[in-house]
Amino acid sequence: MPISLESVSYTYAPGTAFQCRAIDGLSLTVDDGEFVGIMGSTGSGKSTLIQLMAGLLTPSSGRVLLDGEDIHQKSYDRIKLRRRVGLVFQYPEYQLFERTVEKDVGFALRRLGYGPEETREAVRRALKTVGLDYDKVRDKSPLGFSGGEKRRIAIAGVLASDPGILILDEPVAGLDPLGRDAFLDMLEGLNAKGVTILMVSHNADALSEHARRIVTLKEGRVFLDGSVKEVFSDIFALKSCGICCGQSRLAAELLRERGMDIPEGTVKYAELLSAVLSARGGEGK
Amino acid sequence: MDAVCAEKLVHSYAFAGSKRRSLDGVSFTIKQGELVALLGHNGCGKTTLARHLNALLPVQSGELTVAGLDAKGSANLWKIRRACGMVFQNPDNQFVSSLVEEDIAFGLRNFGTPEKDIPEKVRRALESVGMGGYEKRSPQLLSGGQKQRIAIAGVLALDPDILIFDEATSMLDPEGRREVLETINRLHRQGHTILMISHYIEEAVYSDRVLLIHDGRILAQGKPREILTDPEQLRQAGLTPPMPVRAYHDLKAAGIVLARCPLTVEELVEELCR
Repeated sequence: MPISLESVSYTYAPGTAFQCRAIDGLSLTVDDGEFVGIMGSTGSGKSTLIQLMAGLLTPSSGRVLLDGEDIHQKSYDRIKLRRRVGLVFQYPEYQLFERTVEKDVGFALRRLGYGPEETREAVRRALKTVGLDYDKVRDKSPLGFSGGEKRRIAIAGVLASDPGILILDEPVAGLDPLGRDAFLDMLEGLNAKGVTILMVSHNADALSEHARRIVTLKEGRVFLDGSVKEVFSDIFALKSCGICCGQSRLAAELLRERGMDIPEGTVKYAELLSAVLSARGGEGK
Repeated sequence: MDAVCAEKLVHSYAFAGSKRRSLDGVSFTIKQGELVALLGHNGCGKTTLARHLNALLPVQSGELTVAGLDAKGSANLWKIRRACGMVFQNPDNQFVSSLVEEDIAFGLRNFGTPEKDIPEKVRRALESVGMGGYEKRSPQLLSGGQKQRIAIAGVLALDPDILIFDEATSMLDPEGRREVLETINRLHRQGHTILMISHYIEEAVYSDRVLLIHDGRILAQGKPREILTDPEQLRQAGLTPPMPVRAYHDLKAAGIVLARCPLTVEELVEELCR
């Protein structure tokens, strides 16, 4: 079920002094099962883009299609959209509100008309996916957990309705390194099961290790779009849209400048390591 | 005199019947003019510790002196809050006015600064974070890094003895982070005493000393080069080593031994091209 934007524009506060065109004739198609990283400097339109994709904003012009259907048509069944597309906002732990974890994670399911038995099973499954034990946490207050755990509970609430497309806005900000790695591994696990992942992030290290395709935005338009290797190879293009590359990529560039034989397209840590090892192969003891 | 001196601090939050010690006997000092980085995973007690230094949390057990003031009891509450300024994570949560100059003057007025002195103090505070000329702007319309620098200026205007940054960069984009880190380093060069709380391990590289905290205890402390180059200990604290440190150890395992363990990408490149 591909999601596709056809020359979409979006203007905030049209006709006022604060009028601002955030998305400007943007077209983009994401296929089933992709893991796409969306990057861009502050104000490049990332958050607006994902709100358009999730149907929270209606385009000023252009169309947003889900499985070929225009989600902003009057006749379109919005419930279908909400079930298919899960949206994780920035700092989702701020939206926890129920008295128990079970109620919080199951909230959307009850609204979508799931029965009690069905809801319980879905909540159990979603909590397991984020690495929490249903029987241990179900009756606790979601507000009594640490920051990283709260975020996982909030995301379980999104996963509970089993969305085929998961859109996340800067999901790793504020997580400590181990929490971040565990979270990214969880996303890869979901992706391996066929869930389409769209992740907005400034974290070039995380995206170069985990995403497969990178889309960068500049002034409300798609600026670069390609595989992780392709996009991160072009450091100058990245810089021009305000994106720093990851540390491994940076090290590869600096080493090449110093004359070390590092192949083009060295982006990930493992690639850097093996490139250095083969470049220095002769001296290894 | 040390800027901060903590002796066996203990703190528990009473939570739904369960009592967990967030601080479990923490002892450390911060010297005048020192930049200390406090590192630890989510939920290790970093923020609880910081809130003691600012008298936002009362001392339950142990000793704590901040800028020469005894933090026990409530006698020095307001003096400590003035002596120790705090910058929080989310820049949007700490504005009280729709004008930058009003926002910075808020703290000054609260502490009864004479009205005639306020404009000059506001101007100087803005200068020192590189935001001179923004007096009449609205904080809401600034970038994340600029907002955070305005928040820093609001704290600086009160001329505190100690500045605490509680994950002040974690909500910023890379550019905003760079701006705030540069500001922190500049304030350090000007002689301010700073405690920087973070779990971005890269941010600790330029500190004078690193405190590693785990489960409410100080696990280790020392110079960044001592603490950050020990992957085992970092993992024990729920953190991962910086990429260059990881590379040093992986290369060593593969038979390439570098002369010293690099902390930054630049040092890694330097070592490899030696």
